[in-house]
Amino acid sequence: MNTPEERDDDALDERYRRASGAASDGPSAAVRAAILAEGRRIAEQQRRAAAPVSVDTLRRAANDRHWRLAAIGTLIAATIAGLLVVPIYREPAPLPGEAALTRTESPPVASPLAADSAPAPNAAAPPPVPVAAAKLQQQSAAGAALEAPAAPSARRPLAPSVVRADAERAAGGASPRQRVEPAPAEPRAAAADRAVLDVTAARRASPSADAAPAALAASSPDAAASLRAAVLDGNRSRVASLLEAGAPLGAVDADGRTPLLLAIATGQVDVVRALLAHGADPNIPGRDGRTPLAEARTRHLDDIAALLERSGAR
Amino acid sequence: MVDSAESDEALMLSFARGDAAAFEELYRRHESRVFRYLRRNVRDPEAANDLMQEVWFAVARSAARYQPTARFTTWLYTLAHHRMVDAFRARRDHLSLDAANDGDGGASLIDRLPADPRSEPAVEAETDQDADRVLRAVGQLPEEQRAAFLLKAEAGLSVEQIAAATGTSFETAKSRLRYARHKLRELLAEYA
Repeated sequence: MNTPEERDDDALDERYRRASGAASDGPSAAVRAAILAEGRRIAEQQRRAAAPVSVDTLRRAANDRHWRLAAIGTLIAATIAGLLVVPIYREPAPLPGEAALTRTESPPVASPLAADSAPAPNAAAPPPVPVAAAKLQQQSAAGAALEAPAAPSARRPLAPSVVRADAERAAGGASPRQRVEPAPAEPRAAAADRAVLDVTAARRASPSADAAPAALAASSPDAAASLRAAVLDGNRSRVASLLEAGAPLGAVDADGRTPLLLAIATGQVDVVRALLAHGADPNIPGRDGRTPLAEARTRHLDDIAALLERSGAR
Repeated sequence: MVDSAESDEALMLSFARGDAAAFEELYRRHESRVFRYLRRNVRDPEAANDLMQEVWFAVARSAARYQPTARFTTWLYTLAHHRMVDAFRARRDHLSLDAANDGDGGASLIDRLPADPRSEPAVEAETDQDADRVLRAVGQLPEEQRAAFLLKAEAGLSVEQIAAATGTSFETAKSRLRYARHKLRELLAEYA
């Protein structure tokens, strides 16, 4: 049974409806045609999406094992890259002083090219490798004989570091070359790591280059309106791309609602998920003080409420 | 063939499966009320037509993601309301007629609009006069109260649905509706 006040309200509403009906308003024929055409277009699109997909023999099936080839190829490429990169960290580069020492004290017999380009100061001086071999023979008759290098003509050219190591082993601790120690491998790797860390720290200290587009997008007043429109459309991918471009998650509409509250109001579970994934605060209330979780519960949107709870909503 | 007894939600789901006739039936059911809701709020017929198209395009494009978690009507008017609020904000300068008082005697723009031929005193019938008064009075309500009143009287939403569509609490929606009716009665008494 209605109260007199409710009857008055109903009468007023009815009076308005009569007036509104008498006005015979309606959208223009062009708008009506455009809306119905759009409806037919979307329906056709939906029908095509729902129809069984014909087999495209040129396209690989989703469950094709072609990914194994790609995975193996990637693995091989990564291994080759690793083999190329690791020696840079493991092999110490010759220090300037050491290079000079090598040229003056130990002509690079193992490197014929270097020998040609840098003539020995004394043409009569014996080649260093046989000297090292002789010392080895003095220190250990049998073992050194086994380890003694072959004649220079028979030797393969060795890397400078190998030559240096051989010579150092042969010279024991007495060689003056010991004064110029090659940099150990470990500190060089650490130095490389430090360089990487320094670059990262520099980027952190000066993030302007990376952050500029986001800051620009966020400062645009259109970004918030575009985000709201995408939320209302339930267009999850557009919402995500706008957020990635820096659209403000905290901007509120005329009713004081954040995009998250708006998505909840329109029951858009996918959009809610996208907003939360991009860092939307699930505890910012609307103007009336209701939190997103309360809003979802009021509307019996259990899936959205569960999402919010998992994101820390109270 | 669309069953006219099908619920709005069922029609929307049919449309999502590619049934164009379901969309046409939905549109037919809600066309007049949605348009009048927009038209009474923004008053500019061109703007109302633009909004009408935006709202229904949004409805059509949301079909694939539509989930009947709430009544279709509530969802539809939530879309309509927010499109309208955004349009108000974007076009406030030339659409808002409420507060337009530019110092020429205090008459608001709504009072200075060119008279509609329907409202010429010499030709209009008594019922038309009353309709004109009511619509003018509705046009003079503050935005939020007008939206609440139109969602109730035009769209037939409950107070709870009005709260959902406008993003307010139940109490706020109820309060806006009460103030709107009170103000309407005052204005209609003045016109009488």
